[in-house]
Amino acid sequence: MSNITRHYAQGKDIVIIIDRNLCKGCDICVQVCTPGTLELVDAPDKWEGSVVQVKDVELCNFCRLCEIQCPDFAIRVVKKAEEEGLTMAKGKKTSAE
Amino acid sequence: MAVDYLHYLRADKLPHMWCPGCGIGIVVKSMIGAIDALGWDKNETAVVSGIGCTSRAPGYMDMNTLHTTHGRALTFATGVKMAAPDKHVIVIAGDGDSSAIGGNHFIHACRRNIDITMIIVNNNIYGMTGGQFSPTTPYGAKAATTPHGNIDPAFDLGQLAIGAGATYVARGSVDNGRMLQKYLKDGMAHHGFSVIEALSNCHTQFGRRNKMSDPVVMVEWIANKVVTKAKAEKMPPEELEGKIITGELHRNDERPEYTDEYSQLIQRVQKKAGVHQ
Amino acid sequence: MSNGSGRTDIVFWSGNEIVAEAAIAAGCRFYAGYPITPSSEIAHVMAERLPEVGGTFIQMEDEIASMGAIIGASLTGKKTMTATSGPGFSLKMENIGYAYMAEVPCVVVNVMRGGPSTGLPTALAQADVMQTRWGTHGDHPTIALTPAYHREIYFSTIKAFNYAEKYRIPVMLLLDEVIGHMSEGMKVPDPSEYEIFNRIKPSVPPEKYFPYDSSFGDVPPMASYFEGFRFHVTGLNHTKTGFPTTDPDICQREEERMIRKVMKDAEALADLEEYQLDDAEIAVFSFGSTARGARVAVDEARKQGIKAGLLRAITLWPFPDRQVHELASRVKAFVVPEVNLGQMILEVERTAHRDMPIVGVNRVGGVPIPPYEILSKIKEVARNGR
Ligand code: SF4
Ligand code: SF4
Ligand code: SF4
Repeated sequence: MSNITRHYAQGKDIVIIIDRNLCKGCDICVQVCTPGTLELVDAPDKWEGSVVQVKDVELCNFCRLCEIQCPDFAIRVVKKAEEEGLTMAKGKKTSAE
Repeated sequence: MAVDYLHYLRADKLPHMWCPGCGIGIVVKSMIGAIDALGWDKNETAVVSGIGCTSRAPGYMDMNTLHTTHGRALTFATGVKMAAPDKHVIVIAGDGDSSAIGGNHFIHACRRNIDITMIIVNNNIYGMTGGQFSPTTPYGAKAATTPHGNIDPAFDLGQLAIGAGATYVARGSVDNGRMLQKYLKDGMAHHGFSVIEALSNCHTQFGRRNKMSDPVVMVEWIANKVVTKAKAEKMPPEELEGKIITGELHRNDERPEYTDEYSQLIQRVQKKAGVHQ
Repeated sequence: MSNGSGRTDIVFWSGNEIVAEAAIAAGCRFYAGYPITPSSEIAHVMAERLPEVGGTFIQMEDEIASMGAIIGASLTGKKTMTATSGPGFSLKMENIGYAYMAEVPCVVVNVMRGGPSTGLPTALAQADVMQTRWGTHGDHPTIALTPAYHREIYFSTIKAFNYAEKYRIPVMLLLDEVIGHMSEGMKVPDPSEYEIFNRIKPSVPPEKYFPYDSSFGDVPPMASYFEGFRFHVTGLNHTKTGFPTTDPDICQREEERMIRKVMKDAEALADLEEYQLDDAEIAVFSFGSTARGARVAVDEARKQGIKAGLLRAITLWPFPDRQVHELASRVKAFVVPEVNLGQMILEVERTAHRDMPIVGVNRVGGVPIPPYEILSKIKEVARNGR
């Protein structure tokens, strides 16, 4: 399973990209996201015990606060056209793999 | 335009070593945003640090990086900048690193007005060594070495920098990465010694001892403590009690920059020597 | 006004001035320092001369800062130097250790004065020799040069830079107050009289470069900052990539390499003057200004019929283990005069490794050891066998 998940909104030009390997489940992004696009879920495979996931990408308003406030470079919110050029961590494997 | 953060990072070194929710990551991210906005070339940029949690930042940055001894980042950085004045030099340091053991270097770098950008991640504690109080720990706060409450008065790093002669001084906080990025960008663009203090959360060492072990709670505590300069100007003094002012605190574009001064000195000396030859 | 390198007439420079001029001749283009007696004249000349050659002089806020600055500047590819004396040398120790660990070339001059602490600021001592070897914490190799005569100071300074560049280490140039302040007439060496060594640069592209890649030898090629290599430098134990590790095997291997890179060349690094040793029965081991007096004492002893000789270390560290050991098998006794209470004598005892008289002549009052004191010790040993 890839660490990186991409969530495409239907109605608008928004992609949320999450690198599960980089996420430490600190909850910061979830708290700054006023529409409630994101949620924290248990992740027993990660030593932090939790990880972010997209609850409903359609709720996203592209404020990008989650991206700006994430201390771990784990979440990005971009336009589809911007997606291509982004460097992705290949790096270390998650403990699940 | 989206910032390609990982282009500026050594992506194979991620995830980084900082605790979940640690503000240092937010500062580093803002710093990358600023570098990206200015279009600085990775090859032309050096990032220098001392010792502490914050000082591990250069290791993650895909640039010319230098992780030095405790408190001494500015001394190494001064060497780098004086030897290569046309390159960008950034120092990133914690509060203890920059204002306790490195305090002397800090005031003298300010005094020289050398074109280095100094980012101070101020989380009011020694994180890496186990939560001892620092020169910025608030009065009364608990730390590993103030189990009965801190009696040391705290430094105001911004005022310290201004008093010592820094020509760009700003303060931001990790609850507002966008604002922080703006000050970092302005500070980096400034030709002279710039100091950007980033109020940050060490919930692991500071928060845990002061009823804020959750990063979200501690970031919120910071958010409630800060007031922008613009807002503060309209607030009555009693409401400002205990608040910390963020914003661009000082700017002077007139004072000569140190490497400029030195290169002019070289020209003067060589011209004079030329007359003799 | 100081004179330009490349002068061929006779100059009358103090030892400190010679160090500065020779440093520039060696290619030093960055100096950071802090005022301290009796080394300050080095900074004075550097402040005047470096801008003339397009180099950088900076007076830092303290000794620690000066040491940090020369390491930073060296990483940009410059040859760098700082100079200090006793207390300042103590202050620099942590960053000197950094230069060993991160393998950054630079030259540190210590014009020794009386100590411990503030001690005798304007007076002679040779009491930092063990600190030079072991002053910074942790294991590390040491190269320290102790020239005693003026042209020798010039050549030693150039060698100090060459060794720093060749081995990627901080090299110690140990003067003492007498050597630093005494002026002697000398002819400035012509560049044809010495060689200049510049650090080996990487031959591989940035993506294949590792700053501590020992597949190129025990001294890995060194890139400079801002040349596209974007490498990481740390004082933590690290792998060949420059990034921190706590792997015991790697730490052990790398630390052994850092010592081996110097010690395997110990023979080539040894620089000794042997004077009247061929038939000597009593050998004087000495270095720096004390050796000048020791030479007089040896001459006088010879006149009085005692077969004395002098082994003078111009490279003090690495200590000339083999040479002293071999000499010990030929002579009956050693006399070791030094302006301290007995430091290098420990090395003579260790390397002689024999049951034989090894006696010191020691002073710490800030004055040179008079030749007659060395002579009377030679005579005493000749008479009593101890
Ligand atoms: S802020 Fe980042 S690290 Fe924290 S939960 Fe969200 S994505 Fe994960
Ligand atoms: S961009 Fe804004 S709305 Fe969308 S997920 Fe992030 S914080 Fe929520
Ligand atoms: S100890 Fe504190 S400063 Fe260090 S990484 Fe953890 S939260 Fe951050």
